[in-house]
Amino acid sequence: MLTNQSFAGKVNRRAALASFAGGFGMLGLAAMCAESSGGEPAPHFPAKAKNVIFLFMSGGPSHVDLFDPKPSLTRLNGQPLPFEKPKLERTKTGNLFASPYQFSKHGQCGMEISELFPNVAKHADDICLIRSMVADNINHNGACLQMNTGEQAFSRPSMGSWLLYGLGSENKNLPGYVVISPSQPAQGAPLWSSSFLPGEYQGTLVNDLKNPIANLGNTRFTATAQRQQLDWLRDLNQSHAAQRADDSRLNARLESFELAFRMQREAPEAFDISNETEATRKLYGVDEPVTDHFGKQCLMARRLVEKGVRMVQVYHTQTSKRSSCQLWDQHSNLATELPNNCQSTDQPIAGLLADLKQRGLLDETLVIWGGEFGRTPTAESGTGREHHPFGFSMWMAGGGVKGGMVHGATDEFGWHSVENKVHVHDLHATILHLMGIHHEKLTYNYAGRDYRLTDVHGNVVKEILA
Amino acid sequence: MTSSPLAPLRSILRQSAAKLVLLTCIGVYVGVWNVCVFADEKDDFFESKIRPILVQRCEGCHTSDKGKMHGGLALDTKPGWTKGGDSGPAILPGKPMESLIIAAIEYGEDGPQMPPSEAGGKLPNAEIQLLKEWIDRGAHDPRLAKQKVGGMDEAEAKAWWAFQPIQKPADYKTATIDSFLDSKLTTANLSKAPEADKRTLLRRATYDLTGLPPTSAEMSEFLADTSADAFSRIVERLLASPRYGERWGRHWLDLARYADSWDARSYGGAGDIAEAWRYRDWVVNAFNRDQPYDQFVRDQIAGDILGTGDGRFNVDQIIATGAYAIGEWGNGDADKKKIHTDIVDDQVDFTSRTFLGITLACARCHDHKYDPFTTREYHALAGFFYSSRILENFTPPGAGEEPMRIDLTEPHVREQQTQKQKRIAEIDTSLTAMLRPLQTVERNALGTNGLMRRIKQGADTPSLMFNETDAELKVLTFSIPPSGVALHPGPTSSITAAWVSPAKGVYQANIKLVDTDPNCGDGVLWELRHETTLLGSGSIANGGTAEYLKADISIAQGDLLRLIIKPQASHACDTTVTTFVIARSDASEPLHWSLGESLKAGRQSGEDGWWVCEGDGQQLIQNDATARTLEAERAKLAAEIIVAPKAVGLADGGIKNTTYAGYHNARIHKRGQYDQLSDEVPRGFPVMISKDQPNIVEGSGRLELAKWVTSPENPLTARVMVNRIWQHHFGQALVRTPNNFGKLGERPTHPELLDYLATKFIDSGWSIKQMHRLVMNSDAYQRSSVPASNAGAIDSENTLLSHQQRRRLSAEELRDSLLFAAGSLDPTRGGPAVRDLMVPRRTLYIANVRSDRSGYLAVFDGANAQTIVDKRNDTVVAPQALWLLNNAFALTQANTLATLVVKQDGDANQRLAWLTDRLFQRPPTQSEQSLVSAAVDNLNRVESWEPLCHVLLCTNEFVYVD
Repeated sequence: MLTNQSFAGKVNRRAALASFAGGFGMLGLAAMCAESSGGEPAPHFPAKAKNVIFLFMSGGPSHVDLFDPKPSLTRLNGQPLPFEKPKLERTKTGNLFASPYQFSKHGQCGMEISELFPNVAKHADDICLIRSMVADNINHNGACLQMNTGEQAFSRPSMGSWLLYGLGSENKNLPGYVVISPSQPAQGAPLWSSSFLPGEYQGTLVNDLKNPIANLGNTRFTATAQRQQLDWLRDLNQSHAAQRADDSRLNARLESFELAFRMQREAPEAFDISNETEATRKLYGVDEPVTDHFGKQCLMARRLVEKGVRMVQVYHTQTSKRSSCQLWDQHSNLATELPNNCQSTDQPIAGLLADLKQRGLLDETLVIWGGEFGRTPTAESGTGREHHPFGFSMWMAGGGVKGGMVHGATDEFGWHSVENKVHVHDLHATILHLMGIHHEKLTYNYAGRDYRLTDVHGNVVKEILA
Repeated sequence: MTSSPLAPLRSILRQSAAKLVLLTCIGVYVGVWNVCVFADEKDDFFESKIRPILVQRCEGCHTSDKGKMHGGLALDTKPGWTKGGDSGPAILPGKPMESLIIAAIEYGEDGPQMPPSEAGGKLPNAEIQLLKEWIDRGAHDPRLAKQKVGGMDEAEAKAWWAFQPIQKPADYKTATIDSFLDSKLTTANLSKAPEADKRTLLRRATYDLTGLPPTSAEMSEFLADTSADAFSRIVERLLASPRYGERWGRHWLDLARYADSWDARSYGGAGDIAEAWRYRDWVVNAFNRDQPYDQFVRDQIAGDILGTGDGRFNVDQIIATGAYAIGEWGNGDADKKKIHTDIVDDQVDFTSRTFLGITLACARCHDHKYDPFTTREYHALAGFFYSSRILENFTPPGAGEEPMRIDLTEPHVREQQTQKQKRIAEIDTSLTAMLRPLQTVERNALGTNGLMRRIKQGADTPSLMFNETDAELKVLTFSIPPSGVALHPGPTSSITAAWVSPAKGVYQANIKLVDTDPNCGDGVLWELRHETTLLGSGSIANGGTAEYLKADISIAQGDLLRLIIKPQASHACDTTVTTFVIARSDASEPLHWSLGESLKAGRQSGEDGWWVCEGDGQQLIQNDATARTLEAERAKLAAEIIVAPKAVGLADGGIKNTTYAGYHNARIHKRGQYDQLSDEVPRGFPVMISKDQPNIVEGSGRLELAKWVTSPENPLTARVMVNRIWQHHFGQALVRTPNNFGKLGERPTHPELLDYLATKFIDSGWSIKQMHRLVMNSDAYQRSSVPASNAGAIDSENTLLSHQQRRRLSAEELRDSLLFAAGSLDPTRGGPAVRDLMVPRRTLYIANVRSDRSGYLAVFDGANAQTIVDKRNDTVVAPQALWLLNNAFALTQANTLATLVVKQDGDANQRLAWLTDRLFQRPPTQSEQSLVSAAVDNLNRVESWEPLCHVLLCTNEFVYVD
């Protein structure tokens, strides 16, 4: 079992601290494990995927307009919902609201996808579409927290932190878990928090695409001058440590400065998309006004997983027209805002899938698309839809899932998930499974009990595994 | 269960805590564990003497639990030892010498020798004698079967070390901290590290107590002081420093999951906790004045009850309850009932973990998995907090909650304020009934050439603005056309354009209004009146327009015709461009009067019949003494109105408009779900740690809770706190899981020492400063942090404290030390949090935003305000190095330090000596001297010193305390 309890006893605390000196949390438990046993870090079983790219559509994208066609909505447009709504409501919504968009079949599998995603639809045969997602919270804050940490109210480690804790990262000069979000999504940092896990498993936020990581350089000293400073520092620290030979933390800290210096050189290159070819930039829609921003985010994500970053979370919070923590929150004016969102993400997402595939990375990279919930099949203020956690759609591609598959279904109006329900906990269990981790065995003892990402829930959705 | 005569009663008591309280009320309550004591001398003997031995010495290997019945023998029940193990019955009642257990513990030659050496070795003779005596007297054992309490066997729970009364050591008067430590060190044959040198000692003590390094002068003074009590006096000096509370208050704030804000995006808003700093300052002051810890705890749990009523009004005690209002629960959830349970859960968790070191919150959804706490007991404690509130009401679904703001003005002051506000309202009513001309004229107003403005002295609104130019004027967010007039109402008063008729006749009035500031505000209301008669009225929306023509008005000479512009809900941004023209319709010559033309002609108020006035009254007051008097009175009163200081905190009575409004016991929430309610549980305390249950006569019962937590009889409170104090002096606590004294926690490394300290603590009147004196004057505290030669092999974790623990500066200490080195530290104490990291205040005062996990504090392992932090992480990661190498804050301090070096007198070595003295409190080494000669090319240039100064601030020596 991957637990802090079982390893804490075996690993000398000092040694563990020394290994933490690695850097941006790239040395996870796996590294500690390797150090204590002398063997290879081992996941619980062979992993299907090495890395995750989670494309998070902040605000709650509307499933009935994008991935879950409902002819009954069109037929009964303007009629009341023919059954009682659940007790948990934010505001009272009106009558059924037909999707203004046409769906058509795509790929050999014939997956029905909305006209708003023409380019994503070309990858239907790579996509595993789950139409039966269920979450528990009806507000952005709680729902975003649950989608990212499994828990709606309290501070818990995010999925990326768990992955890093369990598997470590493969590039010690880069953060192991990167969150690319130009504008802060609902709730902000708790969504990528390491919470009670050690701080090195915290997601590293990149919100300024031009200056992705803080404190990577300064204007007062040149690189040569700084190298000189580090040499002085090494001398001073070594003579200090000479009288304190017992304390490996001192050496760890010394090394952390050397690592920082290397990172200053290598990290900017990893984040820099300017070296990508014209063809690649075009593939992602970079330099096109509408798709430029999200295109750059997706391209940066690919560069990072290519260099061994374990998880990259890409929040869609900015378009050419506006920046918002809840871009996909169409309480009104769905017919204008939803197409804007789709246009700004369709080409970049399709480009990401194509690029990963052509580089042979799609097999080992799990791409996830979704938001914190869906939207009501009924109308809010005539032209929009309310929050809807009772049944909605998400999709995954690559990294060990079956392509060209539709799993689960909502009822004929898209209200309740009715067939092969997939709860957020089940999704998390499945993602961990694909990464080679048994979700019940990745635990951390804190405040008197063992915690895990899926709490006491979660079932791996076996049907969608390739 | 026991076989005592009162066993049935005990069973009933345990089954129904409700009856327990009933019994309490009629005065025949018998404490659950006392039952044993009074019931039967045999029970007493077993419980007090025998059970502890069996539990502590035998049950590690001999219980009926799976995998723990070594040799097939279970000693945790009577049937267990009656049946016996592989060798037959272990105990024969009345026959000690024939009982196998006695042969084993006496290390008889033939049979097994128990306990084996790896389990502690042979028992002390006194315990062997007790067991023999017990068997001789018939081996009375009430443990017929195993009982579970929560997650623990009843027997184990009863004997659990942390729930036992604090044991005053037999040699209490003569014992010292060192006597406890030394005996273990001697047994382990472990050499002690020597005493630390004086420089190290002063640096250690100064950082430990104040979070800052000693000054150069303080070091010289201490080095020169050879008296025996030199160090004791240093401790006294440091304890008296106000910096002490800033350091030790912060330790407490870690445990109080302290934050200045829940979320940066709503920083300081109605849904935030911007008043939290008052609690922070209260904590700091409480440490500084050495408030007795029991009172410190009582104030937090029930300060609002203790501090108010019956003529009492103690602001500090009200603020102290802020601990309960700054907690971690998901604000913004639509599910209000869930929020309610989460708020209470946070409060139960804070109470139980912070004060008591138990994880009762684990029993929210099910009985505790490891410790003897049930979900019933969780809800017994939750009842106190369901009967209290930190929110006045819940907001409507979809809106975030707003913490209750408690007015901190004294009741009599509050009453005076109310009276003053009432009088101001009266004056306003009177003044509004008059028309008072705007007397102050400004030209080129608001920085705009050609803008004339008339206002009351000292108030921006109500106002008249006039464009004196022939072009459109852009002013702030609005514009006024050429020769245009704009009227703007005041916050509570209207603005009126009045015209005094020069002659009797028939007139018509023509009005056009345009709200020229569509960016904000909410439009205005307007009325046209002839004397008191309403001729017309309407409203214009924000950015809207209105036009109105009224003909055939018969007007006498001297009559007033008034156009009144009134504010709606908001008065801001309602600049209304006004055209007001009056024409005589019964005269042969066409005559007309226009407000705009009058102003264009430069007329003064009243000169040609036009007045622009504050108010909407019917009486034009031109030079009225009454109005002047009233205005003066109003100004005086307004200056006396204070913005009431407010605090977040607790009030008695549940959240209003919920089922818990008022005082209620909680019902058990099955699986933690509020919609699956089971039995009601009387408010009370966990049975395993409380002999008594409260008799709540009125109110929430928090006062009773506070008294129980701080009772000297409570086995946990004093132990938990002395353990925390110890932790911050030695880098590790005696119980290394300071928030968890339960089964998954660690056992104390020195149980007798822990109890010695707890006893001292209570005896000293719960004085925390007294504990510092006790600890810091011990040899153990003053030892070197370099271990003796054999320590690594024998005790690599230094549990026996043969040497001190080197520690890294905390996030607060590091930033404060950088400021201190640069001579920039602003010593200002207290007040609202500062958001800008560059501001040179102590880091304690830098805003702690709970959702921020990437800022300075997070990078350097500051306390995560999302949880109750007993031990901070100690990570060494590259982002810390990057911050020190490149962050503007670090670079600024390095630069400032370099400017100070340049100002020093002397040669390179003398300046270096100044630096090492300032940063490390020691003279420079030779290698440092050669470094300076290589690194600094011009002694008088800041740029020459700066890279080196920067490096010195990055060294391990600067960042670690030996």
